[in-house]
Amino acid sequence: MDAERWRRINELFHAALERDPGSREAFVDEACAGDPALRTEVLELLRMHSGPGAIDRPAVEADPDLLLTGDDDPLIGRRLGPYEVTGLLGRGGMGIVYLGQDTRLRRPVAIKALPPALTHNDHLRARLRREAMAAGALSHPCIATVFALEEFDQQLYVVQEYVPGRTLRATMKIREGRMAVAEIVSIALDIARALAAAHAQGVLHRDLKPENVLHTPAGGIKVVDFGLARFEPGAVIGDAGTLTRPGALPGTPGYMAPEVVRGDPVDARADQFSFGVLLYELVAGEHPFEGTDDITTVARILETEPSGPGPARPECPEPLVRVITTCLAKAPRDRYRTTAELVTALEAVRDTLETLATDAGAAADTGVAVEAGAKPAPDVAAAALAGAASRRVARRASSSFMPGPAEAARPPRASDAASARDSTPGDGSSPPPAPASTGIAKDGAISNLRWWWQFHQVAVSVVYALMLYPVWRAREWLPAPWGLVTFMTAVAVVGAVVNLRLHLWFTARIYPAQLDAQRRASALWKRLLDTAFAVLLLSVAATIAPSHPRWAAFFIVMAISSALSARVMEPATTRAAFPDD
Amino acid sequence: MSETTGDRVSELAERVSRHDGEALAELMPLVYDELRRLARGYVGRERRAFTLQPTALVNEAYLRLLRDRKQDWRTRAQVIGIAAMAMRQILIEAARARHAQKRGGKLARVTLDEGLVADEARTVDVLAVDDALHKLATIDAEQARLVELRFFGGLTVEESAAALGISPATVKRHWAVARAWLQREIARDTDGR
Repeated sequence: MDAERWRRINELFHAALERDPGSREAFVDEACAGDPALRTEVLELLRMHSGPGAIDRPAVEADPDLLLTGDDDPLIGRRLGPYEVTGLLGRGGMGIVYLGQDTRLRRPVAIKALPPALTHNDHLRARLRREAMAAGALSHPCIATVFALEEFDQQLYVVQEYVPGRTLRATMKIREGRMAVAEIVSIALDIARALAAAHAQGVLHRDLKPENVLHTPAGGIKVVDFGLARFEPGAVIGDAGTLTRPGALPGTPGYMAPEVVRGDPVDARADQFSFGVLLYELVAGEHPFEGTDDITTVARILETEPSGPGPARPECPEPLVRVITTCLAKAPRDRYRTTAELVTALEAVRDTLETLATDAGAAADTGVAVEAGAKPAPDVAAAALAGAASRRVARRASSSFMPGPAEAARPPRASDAASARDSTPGDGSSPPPAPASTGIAKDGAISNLRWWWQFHQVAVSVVYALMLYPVWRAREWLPAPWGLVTFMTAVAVVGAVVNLRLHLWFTARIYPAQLDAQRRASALWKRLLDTAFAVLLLSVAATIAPSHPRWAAFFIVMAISSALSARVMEPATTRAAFPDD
Repeated sequence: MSETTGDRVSELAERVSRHDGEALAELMPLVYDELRRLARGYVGRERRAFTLQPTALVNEAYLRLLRDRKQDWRTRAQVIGIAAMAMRQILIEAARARHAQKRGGKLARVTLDEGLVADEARTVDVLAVDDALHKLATIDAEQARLVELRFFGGLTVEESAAALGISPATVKRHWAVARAWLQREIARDTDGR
């Protein structure tokens, strides 16, 4: 193609783009009259322009894998004892994992090279052998089995079940933090069951994170590297013969429980904390403690309460939020006593979701499937009922701890969070003891405060309704047409106020996700109506004062208290219940 | 990169900006090695809980290469252009290696670690882009350079404009045509196969 023709194509392309899409083709037809090849070329380019392009994202972003490929590994193609090393599964800070074939059993295996330093330390080797044996004894569909610990050429290798698939981290990235809650709960249950099975046999994972959870193509979940994380390459031998990483952190900073960071004794509940971080990430699409670097992250793990499972996730059911906050309790004693209890709690969440999905499906009958989108059906149904698209206000901590739509499935009780806290661990069916850490205390406090706000709405409605009676009485003492006019006005105002407040109360109970939007929409009206009613009462009082001074005084008092309630008390309860405003 | 390498890079870049072919031959491997080294560092960092964005890595490499503030804009543009070229080379080599492994059937590439995830939906065929880009270079060298900077080098519109010495508006116009053209070329290629 000569430069002149290319220049012409460029010109026509841009000229066509400046026209609106409907008239582009006609324009090109006209401009390329007599040159069908030119016409085809320009039209093709225009069609390509509107579609997705291969170069829309920089290559390194579209395929980060490319940065890691390249160097050949001398071990590939060789034999390690009974294993044939056929390829490279992974390489990174985690060390090198090879794909191999067990020639005796003719099955594929993953072979993980352990740091050379291990070979020279008898104490560590013995410990590693014990850990590997314990891990090898685990048998669970959601755990990648450890087959053997082998030594070839002064180098230790852990031979594990080969699991095709990608890491949960990869799934999270691809789905960009928008997995359906039901799917998240199902994944979480598999992981929790794997943990519970291991914990029951006294094996801790010690480094649970999305990178150590594999998602098989069939949709299954496998947790890998039970108890072996501490022996991975990158770890160095500490002074006391213990294995630590540079910087002395025995795990991955973002997922370590506070007691692990401090170096305190660790039990199964440390895995629960890591699990909590992972689950939070799945739900919120972001890490609960992410700092600018490892040190800030660790500091946040020790000190900061996570800010609820993130913005834009108001449909996350409250019981699931409770599971997360329980796992993320700073003190191990505030987490689940056993991991089996965690599994039970998650099963309850799953059952609730399933019931809800069935109910919503039957009620809405709009064919909205729960799995179809990130938004569960109940929420869709709720939005449809409200008749208004609720604005998904970005919330912080407190408001996202609000009971989600899942609450609709059972009689709503605002003090749920509080009552859960009161239940004892021995109480079979009741939810597990929620931790007494500050975050939960705050969560509970806000639930209570919200309860007060709801009470305020109902109480004000009742008072307004009752006020109609004195106004009815005063009607007789007003000059001829004004008595009836005043009363009818009062009825109108009271009707509107009561309607508004009860609507808010109802929304708070049943569709908390939409509460913020509804509150904002009605705030001005509420204020106007309150003021109007106060003015009405005062004018009645002024008119009847000479004939009925006591009633006049009563009306004045009511007007003042109504104004006070609207200007002082209501803002106070609102501020307390919705600190985010 | 050591201090001396950094000095060497800016000195060479300056010579390249004066069309010194020998300097380019010497500079290219330096930049290439630096990027390769950073890529390995990136692999190491993958393990940490929070993943570094690949483009952040590339930008980091540029910053290191451009550490010498005395460089004038022409030198900077030169270094960035060369870095993007080196990046292209690295990525193409990697893609070829992977392609060869797949074709050989010896290595079933599966993933265990985050960084090694190759999801078909997200993966772009850089080899196809590279082929098409070679063709584009014969038609419009500047547009091809722009794609190299943005697609392989990870530069933004503004950065590319600075590196090419043209206005961001021109960059956008060039980009629109080149993008459509490459897309068409790749689609044809795929259909033809």
